[in-house]
Amino acid sequence: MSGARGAQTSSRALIVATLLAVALPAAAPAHHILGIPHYKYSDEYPQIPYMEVLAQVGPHDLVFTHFPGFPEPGEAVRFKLYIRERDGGRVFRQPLRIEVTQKHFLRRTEPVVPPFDIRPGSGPERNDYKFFLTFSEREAYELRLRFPSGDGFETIPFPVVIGKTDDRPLIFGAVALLALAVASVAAVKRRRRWRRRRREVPA
Amino acid sequence: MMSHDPVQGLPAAAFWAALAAALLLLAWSLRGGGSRFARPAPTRRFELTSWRPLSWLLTRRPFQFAVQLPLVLALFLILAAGFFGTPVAERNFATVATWTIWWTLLIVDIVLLGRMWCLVCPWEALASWLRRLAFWRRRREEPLALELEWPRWLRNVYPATLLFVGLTWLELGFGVTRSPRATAILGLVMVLLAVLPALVFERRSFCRYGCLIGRICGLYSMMAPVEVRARDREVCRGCRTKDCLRGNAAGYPCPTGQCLAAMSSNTYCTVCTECLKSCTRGNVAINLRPWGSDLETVARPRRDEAVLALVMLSLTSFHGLTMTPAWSEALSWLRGITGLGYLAAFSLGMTLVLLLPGALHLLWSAAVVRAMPVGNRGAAGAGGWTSSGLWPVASRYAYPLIAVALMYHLAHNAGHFLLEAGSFVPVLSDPFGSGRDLFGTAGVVAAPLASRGVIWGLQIVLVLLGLYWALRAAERAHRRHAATAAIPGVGQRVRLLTGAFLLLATAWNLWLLAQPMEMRTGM
Repeated sequence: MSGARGAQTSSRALIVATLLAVALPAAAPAHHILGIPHYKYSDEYPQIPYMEVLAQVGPHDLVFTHFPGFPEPGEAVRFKLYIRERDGGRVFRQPLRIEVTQKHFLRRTEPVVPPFDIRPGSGPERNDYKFFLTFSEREAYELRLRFPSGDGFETIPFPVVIGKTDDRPLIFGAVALLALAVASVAAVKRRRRWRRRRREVPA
Repeated sequence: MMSHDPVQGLPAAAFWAALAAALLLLAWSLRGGGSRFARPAPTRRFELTSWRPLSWLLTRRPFQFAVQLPLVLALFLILAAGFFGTPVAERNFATVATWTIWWTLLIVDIVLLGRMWCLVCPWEALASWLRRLAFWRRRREEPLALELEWPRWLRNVYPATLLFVGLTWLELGFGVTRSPRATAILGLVMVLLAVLPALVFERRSFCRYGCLIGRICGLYSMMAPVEVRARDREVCRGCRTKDCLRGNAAGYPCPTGQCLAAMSSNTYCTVCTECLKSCTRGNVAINLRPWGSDLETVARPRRDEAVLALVMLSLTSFHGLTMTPAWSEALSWLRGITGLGYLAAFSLGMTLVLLLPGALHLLWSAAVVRAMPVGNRGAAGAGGWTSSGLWPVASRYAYPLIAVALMYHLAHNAGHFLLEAGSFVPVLSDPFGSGRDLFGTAGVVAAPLASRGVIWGLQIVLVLLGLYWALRAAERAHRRHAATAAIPGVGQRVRLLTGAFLLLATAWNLWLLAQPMEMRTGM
């Protein structure tokens, strides 16, 4: 009896420990909501991740980030762009033009809003271009930055995905199609075998 | 990291030097009435399977499973990363592994090893495992398939050609290479394309007729230095059981319906090694041979294969062209004069580029027909369908173009691979681009594997080698054609015409390599 009770206690402890383990990561974003200041997010740290894309154009390094990293429709997304010369580190501060396009798979890419200019901020943020956008639809977008390169301009695409695309229906659909095909073929084969056996056995 | 600066192409001096070398090569080949290539490629072979450990390994039933399993796992990782990983192409395993590594190394594999991709193909693995209901065991029961015959009207490589054109349109028109999700969808579609026909049709009909990768590899592998052949054809002639074709307790029937007694080209062999297992006389060998051997021995040119060869020539060039600023300018111009949107203009441009080499080749073939000795042309008939007619001549002379297309494809891909392959190191450590660092290499910014100078030199050598093999194959085509069309001699004018066409294709490819090129991923 005592052994059974011991087992019961240890399984209860295991359940409590599992629940705690599940609940703890959920508390991390709550900590962020409380407003405790911190400066950098990453997926390794249990906070809301940001997205960072690095690019190189001529002598310049571009660091493009958006927060949150996986924005949802209707959520204001904060974009930041920091550009500096690779050698020397001089910060680029000229006005730049941005175009926002919506990328549809197997359809044409369309501009979502008219192109607009961005400028670096002031004060502590004088090195960053910062702007906010809100996307209403769950879709893949592209922010196209027009950046001076040589004598002309280079268009640099930065991907922004709004709402984690739910591909589960697609994957389940493909698996279901395969399963259906296998089941149909198996049924036809079974029927063929049955007919063949009937023909072979005299009435 | 994405780099948005196009990579500089061949310097002008190198381009002109390469062009001069190509011209000299043509002149050298024409001297002495094509006597340079009068002798056919040596028939000497080095049999790899004479090495017992290799022969033992290839005849083990689990061999193919063992080499396919890692690729199947990689395919699943690509699908998972594509569907659930970061949308940033440079940081996702799906796009980097598929387009920077696999698509590039596929061509290297063909040039060095022939059809080895088909041996390890993960789509084929999934289809075969399901069809056989076994991973490697030889089951004697009927396969899980309806075993219908592949429709007669589809017994050609046109389905694969259409799929190849369609994939290129998707890849370049919609930027599939820059979308992990689209890459994963494509991978999943390929699974369905491989598995569903395997459940319906006999053998592996899709591999034989429909698989675009298999057909590209098939035609290119006519150049390859590796082949599966009967060790002694006489032994095959005396064989009544034809175990390679029909299978037996030791091995499955040939998935593409090849019989070693008649097999003289790599085109339809998938190197599945089943014939090595099933041949009761141990008469199957894997040989090393001179490059381009099959191109020199095309006995019966097929029009569908000739069309695919022309499409491959067009699309490999088109692939390179779309990565140059010249294409962007041409597209803007086309949009300006037609008022079309991007996709319509792209499709129109692609169609023009696709049709142009074919139309030029037909014109050139018509000139070749006219250049033939008049009496013999008359003797062969003027209906256009005899061995001296337009279509047979066009088909026969399309095969040498495979060498030009393959070597340009390799030169182009070598540039990509040597500059971009390093991007595989960080994504291997962080396949989903989610900030993980499994092997401590996620932050690695890999340097190019070779300097620009080395890459340019390599590209020029490869393109010139392509011209060399094409000229060789064209000379063999002249001689075979003269024999089949009962022409006493093909004549220098025909040689000059075909040589000029091959030179034109080579010059175009060199020009493409001299253009600034946008890379697929970061460097």
